[in-house]
Amino acid sequence: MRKRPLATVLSWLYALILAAPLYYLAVSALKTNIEIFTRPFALPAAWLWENFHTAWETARLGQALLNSVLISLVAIVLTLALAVPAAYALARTDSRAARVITGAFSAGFLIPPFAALIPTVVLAINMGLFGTREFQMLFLPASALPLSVLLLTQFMRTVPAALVESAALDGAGHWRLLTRVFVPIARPGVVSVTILQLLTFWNEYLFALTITGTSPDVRTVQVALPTLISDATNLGVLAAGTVLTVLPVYVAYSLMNRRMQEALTAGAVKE
Amino acid sequence: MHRTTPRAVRGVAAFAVGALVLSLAACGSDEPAASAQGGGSLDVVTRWTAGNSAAAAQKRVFDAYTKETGTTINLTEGLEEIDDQVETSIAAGKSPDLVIVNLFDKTVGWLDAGVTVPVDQYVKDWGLETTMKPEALDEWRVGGVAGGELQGLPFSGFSWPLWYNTDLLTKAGVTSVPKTTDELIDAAQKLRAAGIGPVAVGGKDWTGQKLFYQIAQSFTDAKTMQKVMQEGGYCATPTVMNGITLFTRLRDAKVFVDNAAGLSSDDMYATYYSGKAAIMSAGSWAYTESKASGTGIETRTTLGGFPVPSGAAYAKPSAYQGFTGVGFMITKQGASPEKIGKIKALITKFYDQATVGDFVKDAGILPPVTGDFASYATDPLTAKSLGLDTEVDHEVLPDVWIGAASDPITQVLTGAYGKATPQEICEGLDTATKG
Repeated sequence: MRKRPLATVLSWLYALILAAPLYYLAVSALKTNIEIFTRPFALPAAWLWENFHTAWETARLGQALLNSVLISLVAIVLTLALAVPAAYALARTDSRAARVITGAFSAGFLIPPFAALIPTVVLAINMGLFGTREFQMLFLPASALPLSVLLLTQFMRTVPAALVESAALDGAGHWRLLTRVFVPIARPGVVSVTILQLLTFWNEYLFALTITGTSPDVRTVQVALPTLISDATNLGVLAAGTVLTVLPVYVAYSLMNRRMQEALTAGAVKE
Repeated sequence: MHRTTPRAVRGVAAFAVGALVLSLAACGSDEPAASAQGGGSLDVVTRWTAGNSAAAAQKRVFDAYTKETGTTINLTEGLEEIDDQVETSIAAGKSPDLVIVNLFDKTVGWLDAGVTVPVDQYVKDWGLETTMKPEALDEWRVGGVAGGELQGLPFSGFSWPLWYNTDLLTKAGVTSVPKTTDELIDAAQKLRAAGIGPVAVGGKDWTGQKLFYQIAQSFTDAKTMQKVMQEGGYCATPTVMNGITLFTRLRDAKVFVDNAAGLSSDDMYATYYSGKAAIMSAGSWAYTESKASGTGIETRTTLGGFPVPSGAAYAKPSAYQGFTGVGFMITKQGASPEKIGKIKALITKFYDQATVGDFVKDAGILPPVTGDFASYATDPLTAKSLGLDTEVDHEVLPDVWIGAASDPITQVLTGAYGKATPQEICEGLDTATKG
């Protein structure tokens, strides 16, 4: 195999550029404000592990993490439950109606979140769900559906027609076709959508702040974190809180990313 | 093509609905909170979030209040967008009873908009009129003058002096704290020659905005300045233009640290605390934080005012003092017969001498009530601050007067810390003020 030193160097450089902010965040979480500003990339002179405890207690991150996990999980279950059958139907239908429906989903991209904010607030108020986690659980899947359906439709269109016919001849109905043929083959797509949307749900701030609110019982971790900001913020504590916020989603991503790679490479090589 | 079987549809639908129902069941609902509210609670939104130095003292008041009265506090922390948060909650029919918030930006218009109620009568009825400082009450009146309706009860007063690091001044050969702008320019040159930054300021946020106004009003009397801040007319008012020109002269003389336009308040604090700059303008809320920085900066700092130019409208160096920090605004719901008694018990508890002292000790507030709080001022800077009145003249704090134009004004002033000319600055301010 031919060596490509330039490519290797560039790859490492790119990796370093990506790692630099993470390193900065991690070391800042163990420093005082003064150190963060005077020695930004140096290791801490004194490792302030108590910053994590302070952030956890002060912003009540435990409850906030629980709320974020709950909202994200329910939202992702609902998203997949709605997007997978919709994508299946669109992938299997080549009619004008299907194209119109696909176009309608694509139009969802054209609506900027800010434009949807006020109508969504009004909707939450009218539904009696303002200031609750439940509204966020319902709203997030709705906002995620356009991208999820379009992505999954493309993945499901790669299912060979012969395989579908064969399964149908064996008596498989829609449910069996979906669960036994389409979903397994489109698994990389399902995992991709899951990762993508989980990250989006976890990081969502605007609607979580405006509609769910800052009450400690219901607020998400993205809303809890800014409570650490004051006129003279302890940036070490804020960075520690940010690490605690990022960590669960990083772990989830790492686990799911491996599954995605496995799914993508499964069957790629004949044995 | 296969037809969709009803069974398949039911399966998928049951899965989706089941997941939702299970999750909602797991989450619980708002009902317990609603019943608790009916059973004796107050909904409070506060600007003293968990990271604020006043949060601990606030919690002690709430805990004691709940213990004494049995009334629980449903506390919601208001972030930077606290005004939007409260307005949205009220629109949603979930109004808080009490908002602990600064008098700034949109909150200045809450009384007019019917969000909150006037509190003049409550101050009298609750026996606070005799103890509260008249100047504190006046700042919370409509128009900022005696006789105006009282929009809320001021609590967290502040002084906003200039901080001078005496060790660094001495090191640079500056023998005394500058009293005039010429002395300041001279000191800045000496500090720079010694490798020390002169005046640290967050040119892109509120700290830069306040320092700009402090300099810009140097030649203008308070009444005229209030009018200009409220209605505009920066370009058309010669004394204000002189002040703006003074600002650009100081900027061009490199009185501010390098790249001030790109710095925030956090940068300012860190630069000053770490000894990289010798001067900053910061409020009394930072006294406790400066001590907590662990650098010993509080022992090397003396407080004073901003140097005055010749021909200034003020005889002594200038500083801000105000009571438009955090105060209590009562919403219509809070003023309802079933709630107002609870509100009274809570608010009067805050004004108890020992409680005010607790806030002086923890958060370095300037007390809104008369009394001797020297014993609570354990922090050296707080102690110094309480006696600052004789050394400085107090200028007009812009907050109440610029109101909702605050954000666009700050954007204009970021340019002022860059390269904007006096004409560009005044035109930008006029445009931002008139919306």
